[in-house]
Amino acid sequence: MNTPASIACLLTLLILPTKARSDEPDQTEPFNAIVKPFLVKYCNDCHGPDQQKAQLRLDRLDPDPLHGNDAEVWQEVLDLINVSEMPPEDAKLQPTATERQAVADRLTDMMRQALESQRSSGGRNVMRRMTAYEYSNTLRDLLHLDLRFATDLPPEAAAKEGFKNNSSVLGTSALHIEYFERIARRALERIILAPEEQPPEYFVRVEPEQAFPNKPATPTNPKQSKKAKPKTSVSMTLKTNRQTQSSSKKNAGKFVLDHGELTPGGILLAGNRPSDKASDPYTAPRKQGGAGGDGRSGHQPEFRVEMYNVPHDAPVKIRVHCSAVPGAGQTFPRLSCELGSFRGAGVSDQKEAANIEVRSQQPRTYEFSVHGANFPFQSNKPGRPSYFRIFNDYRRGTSSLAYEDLPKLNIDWVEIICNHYPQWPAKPKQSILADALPIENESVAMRQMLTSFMPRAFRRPVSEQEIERKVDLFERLRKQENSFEATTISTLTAVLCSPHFLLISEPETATLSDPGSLEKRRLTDFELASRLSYFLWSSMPDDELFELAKQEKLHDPTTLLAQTRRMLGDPKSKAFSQHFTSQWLDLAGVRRLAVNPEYFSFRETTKDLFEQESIRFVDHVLRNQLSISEFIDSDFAILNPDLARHYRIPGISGGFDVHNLDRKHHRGGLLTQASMLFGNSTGAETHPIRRGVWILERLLDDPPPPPPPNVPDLPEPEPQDESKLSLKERLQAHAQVASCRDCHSKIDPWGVALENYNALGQWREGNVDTNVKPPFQVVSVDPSTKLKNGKTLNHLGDLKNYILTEKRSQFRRAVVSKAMAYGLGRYLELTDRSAVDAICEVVQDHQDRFDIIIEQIVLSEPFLTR
Amino acid sequence: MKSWHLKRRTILKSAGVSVALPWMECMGDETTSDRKKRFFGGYFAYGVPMPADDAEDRLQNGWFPVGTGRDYKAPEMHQCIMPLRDKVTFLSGLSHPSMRTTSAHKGADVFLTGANLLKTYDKQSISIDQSIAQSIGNHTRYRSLVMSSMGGVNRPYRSSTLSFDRSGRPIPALNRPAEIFRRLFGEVTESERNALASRGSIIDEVLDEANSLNLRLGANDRRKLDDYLASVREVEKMTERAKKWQKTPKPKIDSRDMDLEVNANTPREYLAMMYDLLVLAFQTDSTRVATFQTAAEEAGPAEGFPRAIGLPAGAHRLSHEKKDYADVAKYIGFLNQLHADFVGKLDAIQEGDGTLLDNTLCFYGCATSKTHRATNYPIILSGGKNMGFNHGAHLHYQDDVPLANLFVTIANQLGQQTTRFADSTADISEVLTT
Repeated sequence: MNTPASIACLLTLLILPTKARSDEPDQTEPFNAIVKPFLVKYCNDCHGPDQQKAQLRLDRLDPDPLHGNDAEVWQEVLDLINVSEMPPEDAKLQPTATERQAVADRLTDMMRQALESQRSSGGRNVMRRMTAYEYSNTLRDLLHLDLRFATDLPPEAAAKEGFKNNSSVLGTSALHIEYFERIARRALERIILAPEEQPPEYFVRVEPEQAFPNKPATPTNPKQSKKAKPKTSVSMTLKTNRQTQSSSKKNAGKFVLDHGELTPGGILLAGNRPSDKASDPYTAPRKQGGAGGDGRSGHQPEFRVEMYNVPHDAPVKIRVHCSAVPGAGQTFPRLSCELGSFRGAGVSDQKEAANIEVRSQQPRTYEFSVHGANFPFQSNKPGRPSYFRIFNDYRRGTSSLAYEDLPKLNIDWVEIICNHYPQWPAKPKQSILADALPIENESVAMRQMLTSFMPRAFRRPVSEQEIERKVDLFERLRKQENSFEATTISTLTAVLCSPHFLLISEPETATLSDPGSLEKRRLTDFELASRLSYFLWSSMPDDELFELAKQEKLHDPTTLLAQTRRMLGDPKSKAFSQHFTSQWLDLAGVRRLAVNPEYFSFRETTKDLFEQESIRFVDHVLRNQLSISEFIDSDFAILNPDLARHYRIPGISGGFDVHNLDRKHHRGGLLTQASMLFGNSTGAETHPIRRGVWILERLLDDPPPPPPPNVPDLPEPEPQDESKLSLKERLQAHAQVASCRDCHSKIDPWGVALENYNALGQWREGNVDTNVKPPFQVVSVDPSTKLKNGKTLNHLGDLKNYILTEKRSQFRRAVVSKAMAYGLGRYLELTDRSAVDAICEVVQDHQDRFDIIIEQIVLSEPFLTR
Repeated sequence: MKSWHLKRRTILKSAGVSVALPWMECMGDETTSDRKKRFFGGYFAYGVPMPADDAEDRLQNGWFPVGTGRDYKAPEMHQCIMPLRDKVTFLSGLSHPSMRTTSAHKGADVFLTGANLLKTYDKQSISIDQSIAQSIGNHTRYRSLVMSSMGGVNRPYRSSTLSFDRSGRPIPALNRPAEIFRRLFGEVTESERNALASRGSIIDEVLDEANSLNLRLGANDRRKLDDYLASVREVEKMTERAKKWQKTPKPKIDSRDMDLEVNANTPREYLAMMYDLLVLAFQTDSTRVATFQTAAEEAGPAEGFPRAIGLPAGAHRLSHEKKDYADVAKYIGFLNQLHADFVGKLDAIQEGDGTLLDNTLCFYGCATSKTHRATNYPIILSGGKNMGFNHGAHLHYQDDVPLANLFVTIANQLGQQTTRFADSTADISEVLTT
């Protein structure tokens, strides 16, 4: 601390927060040179020493919006100058557009810098609460229990640049604490109060023969089966210790075939899901057993098993023995299974448990394991059954195939096994209790449990003292609670409500440096393990990371790199692709926006595919050592048949997969993905401004300043309007005022270049867009535009080229910065700049590979220090 | 439409019939002659249609009444609340000065606080509901009930809660009917009883832990930990309160006819359910302070609300100036109908010598008037007769009168003696009985 270097460092840190960027000049000088003379010349008469119209006096304002008291006045001044409301029209002296612009720019900078300084944490990581999804994943890994724990937690906010794990937006409220306690207690009860003896399995097997005992197993006339909806009871079997007994009557269920076809070989379910047919997403939940058909009439055949009093809150295993009957043109059925329950007459909730393509024409057994608690598997209305449902999710699109040509799923038999535990006691209980067994002395047993549980919960070694405190708590609680189990639950609940569990990045284990000091210090190995695992897995470290941390090997660059690669290879790293991508690209925009049904026939579930496409795309680039230039332009896309149909790309079947693109498809890169194009439209029309802002914010990390108040939205065109304005005319009308035009000339061209993509991201050109309903089909597509610097772009291809060549380093820097901000859980600041520079340099030498970016972030100084 | 009305009535009736009143016993310290005082703060998003005063559709599509005083003419969209004309006041002209010049749709944050976010860099101050709860929130199982359709707190300038605590921390809003019902009326499980018994010790333990951690932190970390600490302390208070109420069974509400799983995808049913839960919360005296933000000014679930009346989704787009106000008027009318139903239900429930409404002040409105104008808030004040509120008029104020002036009056009538709230300059006694 006493070395000159650290003093210098200290000084820098003390000074920096008030001066946001070193390449921008000191505040006072341009204020005196630009703002002050402007105010004296144009404003002083009415808002000066002699007169104070609107009680406003500008000559005495504190030019420092951060430390002074006049921030809001400055904002008002800025806004009024910006929209040319001040000086008033009738003022004798009017500033030129250039003067006005210079002052507005200066004031904008002033306000932005003040805001950034206000938010600054001095480039240091700040302790933060886990996000709701991190909390859920952490409990999953800590307790070995794959449940969704965070459903009751309040939704999380996102920081300015979109990241939800930013410390500054992660507040803790009493409601959070209340739920953290409740969720932890319920999870621990589920684990610890599990009975000694393994609960009986509920075993249901359905075969057509069983379902139709009185019917001869001959081919039936489909028309007959249409009329005769076979409903029959199905018995359930309780399996206990390999002994089998029939269940009591109250568990009896019912087998319902809705319009499937019965054959000697099983039940045939035709895939006949119309995929682009509009459905109103805001109608009540799907009604069961309503209008139906055998596949000829365009309805969805299904069969389901309705069950009463099933153990819904336990692992469920599903086994389906079935084969494919391919349809015309080598199309295959998709086996879709759902678990659900009825909550009213004909009203049900359900969630998909499996959805796979079946290609084998030989009968095979398909197995799926899920946890019933993650499904609406228990009806909240007594007397309503839970159910298991199968249908063929092949989507025929808009084509009207003959029944014979539809791919069919031939179901031989189905088994549903509730209470399916591969081992007993189940793993969650085993892992908490194992070290404490057999229990002779309760306090000793508790100490043993805590000794293995607490370090994992706190993600670091735990001192004896800390364990003894919890043993003391246990002993105190034991006096008032009537069982060892109950007290164990309460004690472990306290561990899971501790700040050491709920807050990430604790500074206290640093022994060498003064925790209150401004000096950055190296993370401990355990802190590093956490930072790494929350970056790549959105969850706690695993045993291997803990072990390396214990051996103090994690800071070794070779080890760190090897671990990073191992972690990216682990399925848990899907959490990175999902959360980083959706927060970086603001995929939630897709859900926020509604499609205007006057313009489009649209299936609400297609929105899922929009999000999936982008997440899988980024995931693919990461896992295949591809370059971030793929984000701008790629010769492949990740599509499934429904999405391909949406994009009008023919010949794609199966699930989500990588497909090579042809030029004529007009796809490639994030800019042609519906998530971005739709999420930044109006739901009816394109919105070049929003699309432009998105590119600047998300891809170039150059966000435009916020619009001044009272700006009207772009006027919507009226379909009947003969003299309707072209989009460009409307954009121009929007920017009549000089200062608006200045800003919008920076934004709009980026969005205009995407004009070949309609509001849903479908290709269009010329004067007609047939994807849109009449009377909105007439358009005038013109993607040519000119950037502020004079660069002409004729279409999106030019824009992509421009980013990949002239803007390449800015784009690279943006991706590095975004990933780094996500990895650190805070805003980047001036002090991080050299690290970002260094990463960019390395990455450039590695063909801009995305995985190298992640690795380099992990190895960077800001990631290793706090 | 018909069946829906029928259904709502059934719910209310069944609720009314089966509400037992055991909680009265535990309130021995409160004299029965002392009337209950309640406050409701409600919000809708994106402003209101304002045709020009001489426009043909002024009464057809406008929000603001024509004419002031008791003889105002109520526009079409307020006909739904006209049966209660004598218990309702329309206010125009008021706004929070601090946010008048901000850009669009930032008003929900400060609607009930009046804070000057620009000056304080997003630092909030206490909202009027929580302020009132300090004096009237202690007699009930819950100090307050905070709801919104989006839930949580969202982010500054796009708040999804109306309520902020004493330190200006946002209070997360609840948005799931089943969860709200469980908290208010759900049977206390054995697990919850165990939890309550041990919670005191657990809280002591984690507070100790946090305090010893706090000593070793720098300023930024300490702020985060303080946030945690403050929350735990609040849970501690809630636990004490819950213990006091432990022996008092929760009111029994028959939920068989209530679809508590309803969500924002069916807006009419969802909003009606949320309002019904408010009625039940007040009726059972589970709380006396509640806020409900029907929509956040953020693209969220509420964007689809216009679908309830057959309009395309996009509540925000709808609010923007168009030649024709018919659609937006229809939509705001729909929201008004739900609010009017709520107020009507409060008035249909007898309490003492009056109705529940007479003991409940309802403050409902939005922080923008026309499109993006953060002045001249549209506000409906109703109820609270027994607290001295007088209704039946349209009161118009000049654009420079702070809304917080009304909050001063409200606070005083609800038992808080104060001369100031946020940036108030006076009070507004015109809403009171002279």
